[in-house]
Amino acid sequence: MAKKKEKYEEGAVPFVPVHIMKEMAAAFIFLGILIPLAILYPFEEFEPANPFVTPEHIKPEWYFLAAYQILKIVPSKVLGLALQGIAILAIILLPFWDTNLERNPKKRPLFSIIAVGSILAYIALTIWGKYS
Amino acid sequence: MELIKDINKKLLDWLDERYDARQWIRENLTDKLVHKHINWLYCFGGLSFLGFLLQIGTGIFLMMYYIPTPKDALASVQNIANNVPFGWLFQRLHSVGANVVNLLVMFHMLRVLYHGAYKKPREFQWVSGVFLLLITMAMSFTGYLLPWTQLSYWGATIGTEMPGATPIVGEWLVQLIRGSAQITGITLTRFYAIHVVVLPLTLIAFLGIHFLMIRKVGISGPM
Repeated sequence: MAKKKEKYEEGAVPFVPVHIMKEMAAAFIFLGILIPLAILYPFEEFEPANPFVTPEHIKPEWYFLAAYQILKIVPSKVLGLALQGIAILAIILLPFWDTNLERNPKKRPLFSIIAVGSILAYIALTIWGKYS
Repeated sequence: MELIKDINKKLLDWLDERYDARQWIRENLTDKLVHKHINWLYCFGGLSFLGFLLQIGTGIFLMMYYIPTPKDALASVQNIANNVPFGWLFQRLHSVGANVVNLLVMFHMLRVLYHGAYKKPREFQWVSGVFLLLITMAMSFTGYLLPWTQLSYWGATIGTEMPGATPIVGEWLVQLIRGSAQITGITLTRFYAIHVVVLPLTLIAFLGIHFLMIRKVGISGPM
């Protein structure tokens, strides 16, 4: 055991058991939240599908609300779709256009502003989609 | 205790002779180092994976009772919720879990964004990660139709209308996704096949790449 410890770099911890214990603790906390949530607040709605009756307020699930709201507020459907496509492409290609190697968010203010702005816009569109 | 130690040693000796077990454990687990600054924020990736495993587990269970036809879909889901032992729990875990997995993947993504962990040399970890989010969302979308309720039917109708605005190929895309002009039984079996086979296999492939790259490059260091 003593020999093994010498091989560790300064400040580094072994994946097993140190980090894996943290992961497992997080896993139990997660299960401790998910299971009561599932039991107490189920997403249950058992009204049979009726192709001839359109419900009055039909909305997608929360993670699609922002995309849905963009299509609603942009006058042209093609433009709305194009905006979504560009946004997704920009996110996929993020490491190729944000090539500055500085990682601290405080030392890259322009990017931080863009990132926080985008996240707030996503949240705002989601809330707008929910209550419009 | 002595007995357990003895059995443990014998088992490891047996595995050592054949597969160099102790060396493998050292190289991949106990001598594998991660940075000391790694805190609770770094657990969201692992939690997303756990959530995915949970969805696979509960999903396989639901598949045993679910019937993918417009006539029987809702009745089979209600049967799971009302009659199958612990069916209510699995059905609820699966539907609530879907929302939670989406949230966890987003949190994981925000953590990586905040730490700038997508930068060189981890560009493709980010790219594969965004694809994992998109696949997760596609899983949620296809799974949402399966109970064949009023919400799922009209949710799928609106969702599949969206690509219709694409120039030239729009109509054809909608037809391809739905399999028919409206949402019908053909759409249901199509979404079912995509939900339980196509997307999970794609997701596992992307997860494999994602994990292998993390293993190779390591978790990002302090900022």
